[in-house]
Amino acid sequence: MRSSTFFYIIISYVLLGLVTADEETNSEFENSGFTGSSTHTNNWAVLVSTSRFWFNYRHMANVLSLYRTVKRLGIPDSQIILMLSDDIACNPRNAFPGTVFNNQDQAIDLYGDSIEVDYRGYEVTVENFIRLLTDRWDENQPRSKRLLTDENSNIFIYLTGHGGNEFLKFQDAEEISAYDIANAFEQMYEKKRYNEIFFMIDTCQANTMYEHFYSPNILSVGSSAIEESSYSHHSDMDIGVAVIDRFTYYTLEFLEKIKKNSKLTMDKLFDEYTFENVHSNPGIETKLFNRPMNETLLTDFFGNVQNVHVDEVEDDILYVANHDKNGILHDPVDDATEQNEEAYASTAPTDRSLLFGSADTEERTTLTKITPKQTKIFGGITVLVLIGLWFVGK
Amino acid sequence: MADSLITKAEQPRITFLRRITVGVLLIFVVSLGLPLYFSTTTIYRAELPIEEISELASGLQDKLHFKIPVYLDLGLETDQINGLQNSFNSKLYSEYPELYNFWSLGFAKYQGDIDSTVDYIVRGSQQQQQQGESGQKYVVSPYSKETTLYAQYNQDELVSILLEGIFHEEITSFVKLIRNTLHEDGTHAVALPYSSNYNVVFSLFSESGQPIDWEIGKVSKLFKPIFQKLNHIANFTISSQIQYYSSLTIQPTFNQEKSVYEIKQEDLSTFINFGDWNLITHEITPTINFIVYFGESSYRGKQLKIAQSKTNSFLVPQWGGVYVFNKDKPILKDHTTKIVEAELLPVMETFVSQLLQLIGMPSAPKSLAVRIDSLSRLTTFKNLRQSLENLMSLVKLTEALNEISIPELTKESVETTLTSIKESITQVNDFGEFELSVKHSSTSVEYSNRAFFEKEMVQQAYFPQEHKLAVFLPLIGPISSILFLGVIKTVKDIKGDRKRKE
Repeated sequence: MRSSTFFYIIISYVLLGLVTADEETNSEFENSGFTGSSTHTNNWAVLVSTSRFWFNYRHMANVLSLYRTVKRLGIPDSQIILMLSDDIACNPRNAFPGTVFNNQDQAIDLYGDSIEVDYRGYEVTVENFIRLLTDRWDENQPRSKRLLTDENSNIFIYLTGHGGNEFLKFQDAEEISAYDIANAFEQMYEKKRYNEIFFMIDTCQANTMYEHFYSPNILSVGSSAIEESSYSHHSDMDIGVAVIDRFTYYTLEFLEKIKKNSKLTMDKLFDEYTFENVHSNPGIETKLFNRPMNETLLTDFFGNVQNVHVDEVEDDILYVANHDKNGILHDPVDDATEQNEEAYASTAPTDRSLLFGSADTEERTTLTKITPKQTKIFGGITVLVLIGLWFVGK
Repeated sequence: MADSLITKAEQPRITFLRRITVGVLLIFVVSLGLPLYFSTTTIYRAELPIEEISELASGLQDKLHFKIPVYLDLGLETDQINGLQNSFNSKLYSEYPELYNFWSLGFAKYQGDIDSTVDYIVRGSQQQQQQGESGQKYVVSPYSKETTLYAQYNQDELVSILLEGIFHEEITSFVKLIRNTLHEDGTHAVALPYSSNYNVVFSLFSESGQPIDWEIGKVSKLFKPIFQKLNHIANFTISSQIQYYSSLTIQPTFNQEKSVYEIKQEDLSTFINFGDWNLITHEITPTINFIVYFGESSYRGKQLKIAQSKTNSFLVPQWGGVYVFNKDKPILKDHTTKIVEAELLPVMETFVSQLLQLIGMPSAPKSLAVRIDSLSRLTTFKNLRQSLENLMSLVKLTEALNEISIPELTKESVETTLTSIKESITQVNDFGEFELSVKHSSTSVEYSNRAFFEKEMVQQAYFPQEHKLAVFLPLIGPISSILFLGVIKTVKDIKGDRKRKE
């Protein structure tokens, strides 16, 4: 007990120190005219469902709702990190194999036909999640499974699963605490791994998860206050379980109306989060975020609206690079490689003439050198010997 | 009753043995168990050279001294050159005080063996009459680092040619870097973050499914001379692909007047169809994408144009470039459409210009040699600053998070980073070898990232002290409680014995 109080005291000191440090950076941003439109150039999304098993159908539907949205609004699959157990669509209990629906009207098949899961089944762990955020991996971790963001990236992070006061359970085996995520975000901030983060969480007591964040430029939304549950929207009689949570249901319903280059702002989405809709008290935390909600576009996080520069082109660079000052064209390719290619081309036919009816063009080395004439002689001798043997045998 | 029986029955030898056992156990646990517990549960934190890092980071700008030799072929005497040097320095530092002791030119007299592709040369022209025709006072050769003056100039004019002509881009970029005001005007970053390797991917996206071919092999060779010259800064790998049935998500409108399909400029921000087009390379190094889009309307003799665009192309910051391509001549049906070299040349000119913007090349003067040289120096400074920032973040992080481990590998990477930084600084200051200094600075960025992103550094970040105690309690609990009670009993016994003796 005493050690834990001690621990919290230390944490709060650390927080205090960092918050004061952050205030300085915040004022820097304000001076440089940071408010207003976002300065990001690329968008990323991290979508995590931490539950397993059939009865958690709704968590899978939750995370796939957001996956569908960010993909539809233009974030490429290589920039969406999807972590989910993926044991619902092809579950033997699923009356509609290969599908996940968000509504009993079955209008939208969330599973769709092109879904790219980056972390599946037992790969959805706290360690992998933290590694993903802080990008601490083996050297051979593939690019598609990494969050390769930089200081110009806006990241949308969505978590769903079974949570409690200041923790979120990962697949019945482990849990992540609010401090872990806060520290991971601080590490990302220190390494300039984001421009802005939009953190959305749909669990029970979700709001407790973001209250410990202390790094700047994070906008957080949670589905339920402390001591509150996050409720499911409805059960489907055919599927037999609840299909989606209320909070995400209304988020998706709203976002379905958004187009790729929509100019709608965050506050419109937040207006959907009423107690009547969600049946709990959703939390919206903007104190770490620099821009007002009515100027923050939804597409700053859900979409991938790229700022383009038309016609800023300079002429003749290739010409200059490939010609000398007398206007004579250099040979663009190294002479050496050109010659090699020619040499290869001239030797290739003789090589090929040795092949017995095979059009194999793969590189190969002949172990023994036999001319076609010799092969014919060898063949003739073999045939003669065989015929002789046949006579003898008779 | 029973108590007295046992005390009576217990012989002194057994009492002695019991006390010895308790003592041995106590010593065993304290001397072996406790250290073992601490050594297995404490987080390894290697000692980082924090002072060295912060010392370097605080005064990087004072430690670097760029001095670029410029050879004058103007028939000036040594004292005239010295006078020019003084007036150049005073003008430079009065306009840009940030550059004091950091960046300057070193003038010297031209000698016969100076190569204009390697060093800067300023020479007077023999044909002074040309000046009148073009109206230009001086020309920077686009093929080398040579500047030709078309008139006689006094010192002040020469200084301003150097300051506002040849080196203007480099100076203003350095000043912006030092003042940290690169994107103050609200512009987005265009250049990709530095990497020592890039993939350059040329993609031909055809809207229809009819067979199409392009002579990309021939034209992509034209990039090679540029990539060779950029070799010391980064390596580029070229690849190309053709994809069919690449539909747009935006709707071009038909312009009756011009009889062309037009894409509105505001639609360009969502032009690239990330959902359907396969742009993933699976390479770990960053990719620069160049897309040639060939619309289906071309088969119907209607062109696809970007509204109010001359080049029919646009640049996506930190991502790549797009060119909407149209065939001028009608296309034969049932034949493979071929985009030939001559048609691709203007496209490639556009792409190369975009490429230079994407790698952060200064936009003037025309000479590639001068620009690449400037880029080398800018990249060196940026890289050194970046790697020191990385190290500072690492230090700050390890100080803020008490429970994060600092593995030996991190320390080694930090040390390699520091060595490369110092080596790079030496190359700049003592030898003026800007190409080598870029290479060292690139190594320093790589290792500083490695130090920060070391795999081991994550493992115990989410494993607080309470958890540790909870894990070991089943083991420690029974042992320590038995030992504790045993020691108390023995101590009581000994005390009782002594009292009885007294």
